[in-house]
Parts: sequence; C-alpha cells; structure tokens
Amino acid sequence: MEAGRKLINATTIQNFIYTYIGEKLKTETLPLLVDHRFEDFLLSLSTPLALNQMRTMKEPNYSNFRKIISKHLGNPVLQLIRDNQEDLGLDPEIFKLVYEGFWDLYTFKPAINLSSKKLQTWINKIVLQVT
Amino acid sequence: MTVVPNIIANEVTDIDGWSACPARSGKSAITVLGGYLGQLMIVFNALAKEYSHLDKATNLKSPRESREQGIKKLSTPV
Repeated sequence: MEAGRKLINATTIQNFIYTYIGEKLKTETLPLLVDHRFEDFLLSLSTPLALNQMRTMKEPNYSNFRKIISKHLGNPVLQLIRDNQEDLGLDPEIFKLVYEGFWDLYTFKPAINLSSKKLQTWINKIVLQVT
Repeated sequence: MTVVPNIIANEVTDIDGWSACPARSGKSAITVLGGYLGQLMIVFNALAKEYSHLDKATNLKSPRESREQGIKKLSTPV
C-alpha cells in the first residue's frame, strides 16, 4: 500500500464534492460559471452537446475539452486564486484537486467509484452559465 | 488602502453566477468569492493548514508486512 495524504487527496475531495452537491445542497441547483469557449467546444462536436448536457467523450475530444476547462476559467475570482496561489498561502495541491476534481466528476472520469447513471443525476443539479 | 466612498450605496455585484439559479432570478444577492469551488478551496486549505495532523502521510503496511516485521524484531538477538 502507498503512503499518501489522508485528507487532501482526489478521493476525499471528489467524494465531498459529489456528496455535497448531490445530497446536502440546500438549493435545488448549483450555479457555476464557465467560459464561452466551453460552450463553443460542445457545440462544435460532431454530435453537438448543449450547455448543461454531458456525455462520456472519446479522445481526442476529451483531452481537448479538459484543456479548455483548465485554461479558461469562467469565474474571474477563481482565475485570480489560480494565478496567485502562493501569495494567497494556498496549499500547492488544493486548487488543482478541487477544480479539476469537480470537472473529473462532471466529465464522467471520477477518482471515486460512481456509476454513469449516478453521475448523470448529479450533473443535472448543476446549472452552468456562460460568462 | 483605497477608501471607496458610499460603498453601502453601491449595487451588489453578482460575481459567481448565483443569479443563474432559477429560484434567485432577478434578485440581488451577496455571494461568496470564487463561488462554490473557491470556497471549497478555502475550506480544504484551512483544514490542511490548521489540522495538518489529520492530513499526515501514513506509511500503510499490509497486515502481513506488519506481522513479518514484528517477528523479525522479536527474533533479532539482543
């Protein structure tokens, strides 16, 4: 068995994000901002997807989509956090684990054991809005 | 430090998309920095820094490895 961080790791963080949004959220939906390139990419697929729709993507679409998500953040404050992690005193792994962890779940590539059906129900609770 | 005059009279800026929630449509709201993900980062960062003992790396061994190591120690002549 490997040594590792007990709290700040992909499994714990993704499990928290999944459980919180899926079961503990007090509102019916969770609004989240995405860059316009996010929607543009979905619409450019050979079988286009509308914003707030998701399915398992094949390569190279998946990698290209994740590159867009990582590079172009819809939320300007998140962008500031990402660009100033050290000055803000943020643990070097936190931003990536939380941000990419959320999109791992959203794009059906979770670090935790979840069925596509469960993830689809979870995705339906998130309302993406283009900035 | 720059003082912003009449800050209380300014409109509340929705910075994290809260208004996208249908139930909140058209209503002003004071929202949190960085939205849900930003707040989550702050919470996990506080846990990592203030409760570092909960996050400490553990060198986990299988029960067999532990047993074997114990036997080795016992059989070492003093």
